[in-house]
Amino acid sequence: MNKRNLTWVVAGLALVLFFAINIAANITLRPMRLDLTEDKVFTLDEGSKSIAKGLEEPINLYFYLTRSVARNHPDLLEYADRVLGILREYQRASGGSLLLSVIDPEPFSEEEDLAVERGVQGVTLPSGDVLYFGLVGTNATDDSEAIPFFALDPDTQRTLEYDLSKLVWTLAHPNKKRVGILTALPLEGSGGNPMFGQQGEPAWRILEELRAFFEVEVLPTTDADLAKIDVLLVIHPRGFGEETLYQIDQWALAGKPLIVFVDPQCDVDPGASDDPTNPMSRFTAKKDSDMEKLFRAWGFELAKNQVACDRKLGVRQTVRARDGRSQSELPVVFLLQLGEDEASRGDPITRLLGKVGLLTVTPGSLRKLAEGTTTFTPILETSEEAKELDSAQFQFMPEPQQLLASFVPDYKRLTLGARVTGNVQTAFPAGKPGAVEEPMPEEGPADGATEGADDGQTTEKSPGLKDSARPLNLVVFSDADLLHDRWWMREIRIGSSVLVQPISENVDLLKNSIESASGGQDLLGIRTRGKTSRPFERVQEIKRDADQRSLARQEELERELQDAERRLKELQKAKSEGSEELVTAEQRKEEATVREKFLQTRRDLREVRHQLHRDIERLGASLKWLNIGLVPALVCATALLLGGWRAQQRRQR
Amino acid sequence: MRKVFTILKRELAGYFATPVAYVFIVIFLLLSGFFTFQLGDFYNDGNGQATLSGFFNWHPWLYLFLIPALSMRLWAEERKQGTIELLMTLPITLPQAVLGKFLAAWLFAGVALALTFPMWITVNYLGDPDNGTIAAGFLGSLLMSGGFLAIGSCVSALTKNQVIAFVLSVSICLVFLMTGFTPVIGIFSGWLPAAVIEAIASFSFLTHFDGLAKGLIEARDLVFFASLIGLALYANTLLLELKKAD
Repeated sequence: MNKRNLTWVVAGLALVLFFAINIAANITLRPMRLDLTEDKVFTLDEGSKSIAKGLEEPINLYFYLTRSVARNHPDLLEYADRVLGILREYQRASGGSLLLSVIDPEPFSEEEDLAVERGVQGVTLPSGDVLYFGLVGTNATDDSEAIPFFALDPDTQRTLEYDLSKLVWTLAHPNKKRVGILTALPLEGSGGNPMFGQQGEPAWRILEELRAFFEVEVLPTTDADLAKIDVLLVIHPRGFGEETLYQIDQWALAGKPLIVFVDPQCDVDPGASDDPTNPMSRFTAKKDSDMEKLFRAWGFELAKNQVACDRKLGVRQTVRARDGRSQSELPVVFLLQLGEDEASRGDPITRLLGKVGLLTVTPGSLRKLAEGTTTFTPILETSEEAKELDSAQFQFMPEPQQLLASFVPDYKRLTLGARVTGNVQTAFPAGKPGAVEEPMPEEGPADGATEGADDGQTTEKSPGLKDSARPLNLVVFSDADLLHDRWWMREIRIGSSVLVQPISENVDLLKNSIESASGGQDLLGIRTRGKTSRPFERVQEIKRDADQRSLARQEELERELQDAERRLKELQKAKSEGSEELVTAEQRKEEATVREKFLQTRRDLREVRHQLHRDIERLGASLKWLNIGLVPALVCATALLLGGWRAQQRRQR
Repeated sequence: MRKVFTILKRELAGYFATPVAYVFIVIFLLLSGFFTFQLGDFYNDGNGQATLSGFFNWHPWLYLFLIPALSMRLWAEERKQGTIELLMTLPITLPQAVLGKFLAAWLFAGVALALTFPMWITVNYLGDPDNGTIAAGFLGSLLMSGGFLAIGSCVSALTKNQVIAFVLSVSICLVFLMTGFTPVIGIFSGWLPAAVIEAIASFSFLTHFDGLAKGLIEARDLVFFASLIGLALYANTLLLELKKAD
């Protein structure tokens, strides 16, 4: 073989080697990567990893994607690859417990039928193609969960990993948690009293919402059997007896999940009236709840007879003035809309909230006690422009204007929701109330409350827990109204069917609390990813500044315009009433002046509006020229200078 | 390595001795700014997004024409003017010369890329961009320019005619782009199995650059660019050996 031929052979071998290396790298090197994105969008969260590692039984995931259709939509394909990327990471983290199948359902194939049967939704695109882009998971007991279609909107994309993990978690924990509710509110509806013209109330929809995720039972407020439940939910514990409080105390000492909603002024509470025959009694009825005795033992308190009000977060409503004639839009300081800034980003319960916000009405203010030894972590707070107001003012139709007019904020955030943990002591050092006489009660105190505690310290005959067997696992909120239909949903009637559309995230708050407290910690620890929008903040700033500057001027001009218009009308009226001769030259001149002023004012107004956009445009133009022209100009200048200098050097030589 | 460095220095000094280098940089900067702002509508009357994806998206297409313009003279010129014989008499090996010339050109392209820094300042001034992603984007762009350059350098060794070298380089680089270009893939998706298409696309600059520009540095991207540069430069050396034998 001569040298030339040998060279060709070597070159051919090098080419083969190149392809081989890359094909091998494509297959084997996938896990080796460095995620430089701010939100680590390409990296699996610790929570997800922990769910994947904790899988005891195999879970099958079927990922459906019509690739031939997706290929024509780069954004969709990109997102699909991201979904698949996370699923593959999941599979790797599970160590084999998670089996992933990627299925490309051809039209009219058996696979397509199976996809539909399993709950994946085909979407018909404008081109007529049907796109499948969904996920189905099954577990060993044949439970099936599906994400029918991965929606492309940015907000849904943000929670992608959470949604996937939730699907896996739900399959891994097929048994629904049992939630018991102790409440003074008619959650299951009330019969009403036709005698006094009272209508029955339907059951609160929140029960229905919760039942989709948990087994929910509303327990009697006396002698409830807590043995069969996993999570205890106490809502508005108005007038709870000592025995019930003792049950709650024991439950908390056992470290079992406890979620409490108290309220200094619960508007949806029919109230405890002494005289049900007196229709006026409902206005004077007691509508507040507290568990002071227990809260003190747990290291915090609900500010007594105080409602947390906030000027900044107050929902703006159109309010009619007292005289009934004029109306204005103003913030209602006791009806608060809480958003991302008020919810703790660090806590799984509130971390994912903020898109829609929470609505709360006349909430209370929670405070850590100085002597409290527990860890009291606020997860929901007011803004700085808040203040506690006496709850008596809210008993009967408070006046929003008046409240706002006299509102002076304390510039301190008030706590509306908190997580409390740590070891506590019983609020009943003397033991079970009513059983003081018996040193060793025959029945186990607080029946179920201690039975479930698996530490073995408590037996049927034990006198009840004195200290925490396990640390307190409490989430507490200072408003109960927020669970009522009114503050989280609206009904939409389409034909004969009624759809529930959420108007706030209040239900999510409760659901997250239950999930978080009952152990789905991994799930709630998953972050939202990928800042979906990165607007030009600088431009927004300019807009805000310009708005503020021009608003005053615009108002002034509009007033002038109205004046001019009125004056013009008056002059014209005078002209038509009086005879032509009486219209003096002076009047005519005045009319002309006013007309001119009218036109000028309109021109000015237009100018103000134009000015708004001019600054933004100017910034854009400057940046454009700086970026396109500046460096090239500098490079040219450098070249010329260097060239000149070199020429000079040459001449000198 | 010191000899490679010597060649690198000589070459780099050569670039800046003539106006060609400045013209190249100015054209690159003007075009990248123009494409980003005018065609990509980066500012969009203040409603744009604080990302540089609209900036990086143009890079493969800019490189497609600018890099062959830079690389065409690497060997073709030496051969035409006969200076290659001179180079061969120097006490350096052929691979050293190839590597030195390539690195000089790459460094030069890197300087041009670095001079787009006002874009980075702009986007940070306007909003709150993900600077990790931007860093990965710059790295990806640099690696891609290396790939283009290595191909161009290899092609330049084929011929004495710079125009032929340019046209040939553009054609080859275009193939490396098109195999990963979504509209092109769409055409073939009808009659080739998805696995084959994916395998072909995995040899495209676009496939690997897109991943990097999104902020994810994968080992296989690095392997792709490194192996491509390695292969092209190796072929470059072989070609020169062959021509020398003629």
